[in-house]
Amino acid sequence: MSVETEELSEEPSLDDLTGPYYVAWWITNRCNLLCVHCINDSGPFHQFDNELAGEEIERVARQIVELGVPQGSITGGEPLIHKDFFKVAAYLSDNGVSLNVETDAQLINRETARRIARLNLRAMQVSVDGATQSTYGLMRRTTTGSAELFRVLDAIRMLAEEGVRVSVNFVPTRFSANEVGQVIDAVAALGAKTFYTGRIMRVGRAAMNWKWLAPTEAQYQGFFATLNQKAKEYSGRVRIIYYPYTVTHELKFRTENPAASFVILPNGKVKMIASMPFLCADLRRHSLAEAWERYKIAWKHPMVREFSEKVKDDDPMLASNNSFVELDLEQPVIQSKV
Amino acid sequence: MKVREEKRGTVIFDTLNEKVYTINETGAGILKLLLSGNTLDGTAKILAQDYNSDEAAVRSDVIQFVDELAARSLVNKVPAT
Repeated sequence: MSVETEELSEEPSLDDLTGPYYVAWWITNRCNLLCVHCINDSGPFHQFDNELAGEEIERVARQIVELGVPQGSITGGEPLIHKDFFKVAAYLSDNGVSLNVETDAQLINRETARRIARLNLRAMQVSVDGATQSTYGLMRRTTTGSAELFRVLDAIRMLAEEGVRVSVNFVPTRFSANEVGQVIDAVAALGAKTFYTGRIMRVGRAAMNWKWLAPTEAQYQGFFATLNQKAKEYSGRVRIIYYPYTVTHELKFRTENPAASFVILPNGKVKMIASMPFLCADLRRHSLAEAWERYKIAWKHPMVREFSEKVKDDDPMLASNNSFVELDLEQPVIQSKV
Repeated sequence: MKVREEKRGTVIFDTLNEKVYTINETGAGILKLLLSGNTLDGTAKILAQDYNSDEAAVRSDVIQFVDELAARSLVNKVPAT
């Protein structure tokens, strides 16, 4: 029998996969900041009453590894303030999960940067939403004022110096979109390797503040033109990646083409996609493998399809993404719960 | 790169570029041998024995497969140590 060269074909169907290939683990809703555009409505006093802890956290991490999930992210809230963050991140990373951590980077000093370097992450994703303190501070609020831009820039430099791969996330707003080029220049000089951006998502707190946050279409045109120009300028040095579509476009596309990924909430509930309120499993009751099977079914649920069909770009429904709705996947009757 | 057995074969996850590929049973066999530490020559030798085939022909096929993976930046070819 001869060995034949095998052609690689592109993405397999969801039904053929035994588990997700990306899990976003929203490990806590507590955050040191109170950002005006936070899609998760996180903040200093916004921790869920019943967040997973101790052995429950360990069980979820173990199941992610056992199911062979190849990559994931730890997000929040601010993941670095979760007491088990380093333990969980080290466990996942040491067991083959390619891990991205999303942070505001305000709490990173040299010692923390060294600890993060030992985690061998795919990337530390740092949010930088402005090139000036006045712009950054308008978006990144604290209970008493504004977060400080210089701390984030220092953190990027320290992380890069310690050998951590740094990516940067930028959310454009009416008052920050025109600073995107300056931000790219600044973070590239500090050692960032990837720059992610796209249209601001009209969900969570961003939806509530939409009128004064949303850039105009004219601003977006300038924004995307700058990104294209910077992508050429930094070719081979910094990857500039942006998603040009609205959250509604993404949602409608995903309803027909679900991604092999879901979100684990701080309380162990499993959310189908960030922009919709629907929950399809509870990791206190279901294993991760069961959650995956439920996730696949959930995309066919009439409530999900109805939401996707009805929602429009300017729809207040989008502000309800954190008013969670548990789907009853055993019965045709729908059960709702906030 | 991560590899996972799925219902209809083996899937390769390109975790850096966030792409997913499927390969068939033979490709999976080659990959398994390479990932367990075998060289290209060693892999070809084992497969030639398993399939009772000409080793040089099998080696050529293995190299072609690895070249495809390398073209997608899924593996780096390095000299055997």
